[in-house]
Amino acid sequence: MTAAPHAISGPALIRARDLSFRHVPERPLLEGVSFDLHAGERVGLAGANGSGKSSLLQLLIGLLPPDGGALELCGQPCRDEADFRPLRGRVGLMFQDADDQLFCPTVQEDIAFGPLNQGLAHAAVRRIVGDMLARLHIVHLAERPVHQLSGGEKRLVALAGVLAMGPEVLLLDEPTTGLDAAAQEKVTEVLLTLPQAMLVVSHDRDFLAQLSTRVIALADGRVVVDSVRQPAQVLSLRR
Amino acid sequence: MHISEGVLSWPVLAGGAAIAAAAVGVGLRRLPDERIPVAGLLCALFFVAALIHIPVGIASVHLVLNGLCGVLLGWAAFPVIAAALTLQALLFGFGGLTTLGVNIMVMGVPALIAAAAFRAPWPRSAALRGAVCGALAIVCGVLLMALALWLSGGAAFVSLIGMVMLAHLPVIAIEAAMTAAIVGSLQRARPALLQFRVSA
Amino acid sequence: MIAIGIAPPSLLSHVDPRVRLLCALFASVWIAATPRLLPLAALAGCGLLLAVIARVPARVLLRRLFVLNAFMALVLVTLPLSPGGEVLWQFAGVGLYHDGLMHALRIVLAGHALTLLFVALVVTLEPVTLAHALLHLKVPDKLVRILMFAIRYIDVLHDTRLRRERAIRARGFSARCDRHTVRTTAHLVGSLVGDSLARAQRIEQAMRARGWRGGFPMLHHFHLRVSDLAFGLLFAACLLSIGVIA
Repeated sequence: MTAAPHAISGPALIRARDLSFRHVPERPLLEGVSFDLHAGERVGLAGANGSGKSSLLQLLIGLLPPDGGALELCGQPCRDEADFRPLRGRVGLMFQDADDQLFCPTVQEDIAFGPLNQGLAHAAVRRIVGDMLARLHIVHLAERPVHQLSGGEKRLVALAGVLAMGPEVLLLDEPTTGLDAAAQEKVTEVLLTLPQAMLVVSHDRDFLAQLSTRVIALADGRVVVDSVRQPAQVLSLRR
Repeated sequence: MHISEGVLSWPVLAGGAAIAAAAVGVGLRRLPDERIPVAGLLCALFFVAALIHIPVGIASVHLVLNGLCGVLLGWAAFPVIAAALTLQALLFGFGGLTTLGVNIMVMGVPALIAAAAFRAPWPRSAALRGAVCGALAIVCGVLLMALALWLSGGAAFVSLIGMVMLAHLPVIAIEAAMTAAIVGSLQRARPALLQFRVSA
Repeated sequence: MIAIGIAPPSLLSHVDPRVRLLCALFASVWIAATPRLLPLAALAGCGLLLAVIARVPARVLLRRLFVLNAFMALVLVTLPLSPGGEVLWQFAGVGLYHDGLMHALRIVLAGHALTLLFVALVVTLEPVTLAHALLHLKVPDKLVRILMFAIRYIDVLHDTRLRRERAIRARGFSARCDRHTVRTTAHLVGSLVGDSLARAQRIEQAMRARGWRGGFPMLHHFHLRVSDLAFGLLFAACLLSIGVIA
């Protein structure tokens, strides 16, 4: 497998080469996965259940150790925790289950968690929290206990928590799965207004067609499609 | 399994609180920062498990599982039990502020004993060791309750102590059976969990 | 959902949670150390008054008192029958003794005073607020974090438990006192243990993904106002005057 066949100017934010990963020794989950992600791109990541999409996202941010291959984030080669650590925040990962991510008791504390980890002063953190709440139109949720939010609200708060760190790349793991039509539309709307490059895992063809500028499909642990053609066409070919 | 407010004398309450504070302190020191989410989730788990009832005759008995708590958490069982008892006092009125320390000891010391018993080489079967842990944890807890009552009221509390012990007989049986079955279930479905140690 | 944060807004919700906690603690120590009946009765009255001011729903209050009195019934049945002091009444070899009766009354009054004050001052706090107050009162950070994680995820786990129980019942299960019930419940609890550990691992990963390196930052701060101090002083004055007069 080679990198994306098309040329896009600017440095790659993510450059993955021959990444491989296995949960159990005898069964590889990812095998020689290579691709680039450039600024301004919104890449849909498709593939069957268990094809390793979520694991790939976690590999890309160093939460899982790869069994082989090389990875560069924002131009920096990343091999161990020490390499990844300063880049967390520049590459933001939104988890599939918002309940995994939103562990703080209240919404504003959760949004503040990332910026506080970045060592920002309290005044700055408060400003960022206010900005994020306003930007995602969830100011009314600020003081609410997280466990009382609806599924759609949780997703938006999780996104706010990632955006609060000022990322250049967003890795989104099924951002609309399980939401009702109205909530899906709201999340999609918000994502379309964001300037960040994105790698979006989803099973929802319409959603990917609406959002992405390029589609990568995984099957049997390999990249089988990497195309800037109309995502809808690519996805229907893969049926 | 808790002692109500108002029953114990103040030296017993103060002593219990002081020892519990020390035990919780040891538990916290042995709990690395990155294990705090695990401890918190297991605290939520034991809180939720205490809502599960097993019918016994015309009444029912709710799960305590402090033996299992000790097996999974080791010394970290103390802070986890402290948090769970705080929540039970807040949400259900089981115990209260003054008895928190004594109740932490009543649940926590047996948890630690169960943890040690589970690592014993005998019996060989994990489920049987689970049964021993479950029963032992309640028996030790009841003995500690009896001790706290005896120290507070002496001879006047004898028949009260007797009734408390009687009331816990079905709990001992249920906890032995349930802990054995849970350990057996974990052993088959997720064997790694039983080797997992939350605290150092 | 498990009821968290039970009381509607009231006069008491304006009082700084730290002050409420300290008042409850101070009163508890005082009650636990007082052997006399009259001050205990007065304090139980104060507790009831505070619970009314805090607008604790009657249903909640009655439930708490029911839980308490289930145990108090045992005390009332056993203690007065234990020999000691003057015999008040005797029938068929069973005696009612003065010391035991006084002891039982003391326990009942103290139990009610403690419970009522705890409900009015502490239970009415939103648990999240309580956790923050504990942090500010220098309760060890890690312990409060465990509490916060538990508060956050109890509902998630409880919902999972209820969903699984419904699924189990949908397949014809009903709980009895038998082996099958024990085994089924054990599988349920076992699956919840697995869930909680797996979720804890994902939470830790999500925290690391947001740059966590151990330790927890604190964002919330409380500000003590004159009215909070006034409440604290008034409360202390009540305790003292009850102690002196009664």
